[in-house]
Amino acid sequence: MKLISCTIDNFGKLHDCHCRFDPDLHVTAEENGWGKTTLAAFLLAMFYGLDGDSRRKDSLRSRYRPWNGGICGGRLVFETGAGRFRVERTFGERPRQDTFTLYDERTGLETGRYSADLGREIFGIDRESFCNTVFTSGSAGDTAPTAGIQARIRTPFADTDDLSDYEAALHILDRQRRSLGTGRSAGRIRRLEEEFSRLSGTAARQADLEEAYRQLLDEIRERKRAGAVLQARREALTASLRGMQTEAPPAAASEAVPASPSVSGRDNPGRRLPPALTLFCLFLLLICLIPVFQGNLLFLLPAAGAAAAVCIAYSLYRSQPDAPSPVPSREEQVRESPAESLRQTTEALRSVSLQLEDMAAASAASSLRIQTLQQELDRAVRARDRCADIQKELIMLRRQERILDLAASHLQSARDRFLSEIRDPFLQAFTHYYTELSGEEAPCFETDADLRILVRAGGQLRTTEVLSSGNRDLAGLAQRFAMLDAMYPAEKPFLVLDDPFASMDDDRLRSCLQAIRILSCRFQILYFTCHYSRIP
Amino acid sequence: MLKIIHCADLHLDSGMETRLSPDRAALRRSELLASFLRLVEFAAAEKAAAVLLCGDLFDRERVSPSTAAAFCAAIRRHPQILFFCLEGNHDRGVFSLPWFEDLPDNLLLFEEDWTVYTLGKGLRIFGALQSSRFASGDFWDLLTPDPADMNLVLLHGTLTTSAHPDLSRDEIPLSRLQDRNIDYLAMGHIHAPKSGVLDSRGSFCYPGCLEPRGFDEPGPHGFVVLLIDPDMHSLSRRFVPFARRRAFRIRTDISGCSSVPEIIDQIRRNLERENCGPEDMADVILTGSLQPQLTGDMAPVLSALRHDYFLLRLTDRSKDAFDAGRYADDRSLRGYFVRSVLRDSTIEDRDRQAVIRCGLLALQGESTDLIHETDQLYD
Repeated sequence: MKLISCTIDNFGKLHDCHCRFDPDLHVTAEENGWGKTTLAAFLLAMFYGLDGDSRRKDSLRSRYRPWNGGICGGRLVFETGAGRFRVERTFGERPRQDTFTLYDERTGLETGRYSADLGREIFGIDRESFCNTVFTSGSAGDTAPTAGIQARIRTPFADTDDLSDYEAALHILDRQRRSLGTGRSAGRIRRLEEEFSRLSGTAARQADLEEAYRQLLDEIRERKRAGAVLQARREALTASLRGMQTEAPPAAASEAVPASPSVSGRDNPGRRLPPALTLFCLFLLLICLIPVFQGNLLFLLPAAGAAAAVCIAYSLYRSQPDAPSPVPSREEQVRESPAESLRQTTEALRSVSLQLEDMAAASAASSLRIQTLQQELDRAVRARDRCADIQKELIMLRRQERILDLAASHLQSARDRFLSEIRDPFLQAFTHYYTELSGEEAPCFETDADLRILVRAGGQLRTTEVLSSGNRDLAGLAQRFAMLDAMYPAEKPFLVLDDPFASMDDDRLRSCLQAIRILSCRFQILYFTCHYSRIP
Repeated sequence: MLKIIHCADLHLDSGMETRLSPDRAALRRSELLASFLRLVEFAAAEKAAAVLLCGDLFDRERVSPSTAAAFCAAIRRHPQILFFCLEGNHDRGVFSLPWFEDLPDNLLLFEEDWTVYTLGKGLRIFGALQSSRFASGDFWDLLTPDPADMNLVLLHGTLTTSAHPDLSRDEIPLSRLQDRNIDYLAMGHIHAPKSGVLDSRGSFCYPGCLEPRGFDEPGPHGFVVLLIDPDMHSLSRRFVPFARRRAFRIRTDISGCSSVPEIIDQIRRNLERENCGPEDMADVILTGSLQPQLTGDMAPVLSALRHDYFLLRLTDRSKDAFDAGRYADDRSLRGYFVRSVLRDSTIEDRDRQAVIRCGLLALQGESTDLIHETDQLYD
């Protein structure tokens, strides 16, 4: 872009001042106090407005308040690839009182092609970066490649201030990384690891608890079965006992049957028949003998027969074998069982009842134990589940940590590579301009990732502060030209040089002035000086 | 005509704390028990003669005393109904617990040997607990239902057509049950309703579980009502949906969504289309491509939707819609960064997209607590 002309209504000491700019090298050679610096400041204000509040004495607004008290402001005509424009601004006591109007010089009509943020829109950099590159008031040496300059120094394809975002991006990644942080006690990973370690002991008990639970359940089952058997036995014994008590014979009944001290066969009820037969035969004999005794001999023969029958019956009775061991009589039996059987049954019942009582006590204890085991198992299962969840989360978090590390590391690599791909051309351009300006071979310069110029001196890389003031000014100027080359590969902006060679010696001055003439073919240079010897 | 209810896999006292908060898990456990109690009341109202409980009535052999008491009390309250209860693989031995000391008289259990009950005239109910004997042909030969009767058989396991069932996986050989005069094979173990033909005479049926316990049990849940006429030798059945809550698993493609509100709307539309309501549980699986401007953090999506449903889970399976080719000639720092990551062969493929997304979002000034993870679970 090119500056065409400007009209200063009131700006500091300058009042009603008109200036038409040479398209290549515009030289303003005026004595000190003329207002060269004020002119430079006016040009800056036309593009970037005036900073500050006039109530503050150190502000630019206060410094350039019109001496004559008039309205501070003016007009500037410039040309860009979009056309020729005229910007008119006035500056009040405070920024909100400022005015801005842009006209299309071709039509004379107001246009919205650019806004009040004119400088940023045209040059793509902020005020500070503008001051450090295209605009200089004073020494050319205080040049620092701001983030905006670094951001601007890129190929034309990029359209965002990546490098400006770089530091913020690293900060975001670092903050996320720290919140996860394995090493930090407050980090999520560390907290989860601690929780896992607390719970894993409980979870590990699950298998043992389950085994204990199963064994206890088996015991209970067995006891239940055994209890059922015992219960059935008790019921049988109880019934038996009840039966024994109802069957026991009364004392009178037992007296009806005389006790027989012997167990021989005589008392064997099986011997009663022969004596009865003998008696019958005897009766018959008597009946037959009575008539005989009465003289009736006819009954003699029957009497003889009856006598024979008596003999035979008696002999039969005497000839029977000995009876076997006598079965005790019913009375004897009843008298022997109640004492022993009852005792035995009662004893058995008591024993079974005791066993059942023991079982009941054991069941009650098992019941309590199983409840406790259930609770412990539930705790162990919950702990196990939580541990499984923690492990999954830890895997995820460690992966996130890894991703954050990779992202940060690759961002750094990208930045270094990004800068190195512009740094080298930048260094090359700087060295070229330094050589042009100084007229001699440049010392060993290098540049860091932030595009700061460094010089190798005494075996170390040092800032340009170690250079003499003249050489420092040269380096600053060369840096500006190099930055302009890198920042504006196509349409070049103007360059304002406000007596940049004041500290040069004659030889150096000659070279610089020669270089300025050459460079004005590439850049529109507004050159201010207060001494004729420094006019290119 | 006899009415019989067939249900299974109630899993009462299930832990359910894997994905539910303790409060929600406790609520869900009480709902399982409530569903069983409702089932018993339903059986009473329908004047059912019997209820077949075909296994896994409880979730494990550990049951709380209160659940045991509620279970027994519900059964005892209806002495006119017989409850035939078969233990499953999860609750084997549960009735040995001290809190089942005094079982209701109308609760009838089964053993490892075939147990037979007669219900009325001409209706017999067989059942056996799963054991290693299932692998033996002799065991099945002991099952000899009379062809003149109506025969119901209760079993718990997975019916298989394999000749060599894998007992460790609770398999039961179907062939051993065919042509044995079985009219109805009442099964348990599979949690979704399923039925089929057993042979020329009978059929088998899994009623599924009464309530879904998780998102892996979507679909209808309830029990089967059998109408049996032993005289006419007829049997019909119908499924009764009965669950208090339903479970849904819904896929939602978020490829066309360029903002979090759009993702929320898309999910809501899909849930409404499936008729998923405030009492239900939904597992929403996000698929498709995640647009580059989105951070991949779905926590705000879950937060916006979770209170509209009893339980909502998001599983993010979306992929990064990242076009590396776009940065091939990009000379900005972004371009250098993307190319640097793509060139790094030490980065795993699944991490590569995440690294790029993370770096680009950081350059945008986006700070998220989360890296976009596929299969990331939000609940």
